[in-house]
Amino acid sequence: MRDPIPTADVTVNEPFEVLYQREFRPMVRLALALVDEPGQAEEVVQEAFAALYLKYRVLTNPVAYLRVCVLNGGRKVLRRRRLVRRQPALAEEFGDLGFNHVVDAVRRLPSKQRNVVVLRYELQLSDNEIADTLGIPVGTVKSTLHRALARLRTEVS
Amino acid sequence: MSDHDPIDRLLDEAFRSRPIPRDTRPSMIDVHRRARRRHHRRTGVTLGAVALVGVGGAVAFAMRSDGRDQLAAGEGDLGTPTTYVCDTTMFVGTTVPVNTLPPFTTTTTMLPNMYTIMEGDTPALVAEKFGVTVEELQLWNANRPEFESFIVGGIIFVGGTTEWMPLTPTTVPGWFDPCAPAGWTWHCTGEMGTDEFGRAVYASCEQVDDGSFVTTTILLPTNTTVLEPDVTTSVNGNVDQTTTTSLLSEPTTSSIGG
Repeated sequence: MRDPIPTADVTVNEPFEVLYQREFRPMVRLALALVDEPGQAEEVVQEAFAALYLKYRVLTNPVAYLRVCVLNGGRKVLRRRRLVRRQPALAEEFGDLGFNHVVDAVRRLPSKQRNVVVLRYELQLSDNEIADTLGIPVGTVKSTLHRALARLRTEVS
Repeated sequence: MSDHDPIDRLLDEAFRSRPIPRDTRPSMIDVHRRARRRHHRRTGVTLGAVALVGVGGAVAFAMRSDGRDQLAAGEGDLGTPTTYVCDTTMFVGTTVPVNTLPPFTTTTTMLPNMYTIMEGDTPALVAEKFGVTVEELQLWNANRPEFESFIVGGIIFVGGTTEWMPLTPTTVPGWFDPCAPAGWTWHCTGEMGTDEFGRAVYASCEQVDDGSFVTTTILLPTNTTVLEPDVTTSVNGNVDQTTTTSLLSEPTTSSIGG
């Protein structure tokens, strides 16, 4: 997924510390929805904030950038786990990641579907907010979510 | 999404029922450090570190420059241009090298006092504390969200300008030059720490160059309002200067090319 396009013009965002204070725990929740292990989730979030910090002045949508960094970081963790365990991309190897089988099923989704689902259900974002975060059309959000739920319906049942 | 869609409800419940993590938010200093490490990993450029140990300051901290540890004040190579980023309070009274990235301009700038808004403060109250007017506060803090929001912990300027060009090294007590690369503008972005009176002792600042930025923390003078660099400079980039330091036995001369 692409990052929000930074601008060379200096934008006046809220102080970084304010955003950091407000968004840290929601981002940890978002990362936990992906990786489930608290230490790794915090590491993902802290790296995301560090990345945001380096570009903060030139971003027009820093919160979207932050969320994308967390999603990307979570995906990398899951990919590393898969490589370590030497198992296929889509399988039940994620099944032991958490106590909640529904969230486990979400983690087994393809990354685009997974991202939309966690942004919707963990952060409670609207379709427009998800579209804004991921830099995709609202129609794509709806269709991706529709496919994700169809898949989850099958898996969970 | 249909409200009566079972999978929608199931997902909603599954995510809402998850435990809320404890707030283990690291400090902003840790964010700075991690950002600096990240920048180094990705660019190979070390952003940070000068070890400054001086007199009369608050807390010493160690930084690294180009992978080398700058030792206690008086050591290190003052003639080596480099970029420094500081992320904690530093002792004052230490001279640091000048960066030589052209174009280089310098100016003597009236440095503002920094004041951290405390509980109960209002613009009128702060103006009265410093013997200035609210209109002056507004002028010194034009377009600054910290003044517009006026929340506790925000840093506002009392006197002077709100942005300044990087200055040549000096040992004016109470002031530390963050050694920004030449030509960068520093904008103070917020508080990093305060002294016992609630005044900002050091603050994070950032520069904007080509769209990327580097943050640094500088020690802010609580009483110094005028900087008197001991240099002779030109405005078109070539700077010949003599720097003095209270910690070296002899003056050191640095020649800076444009």
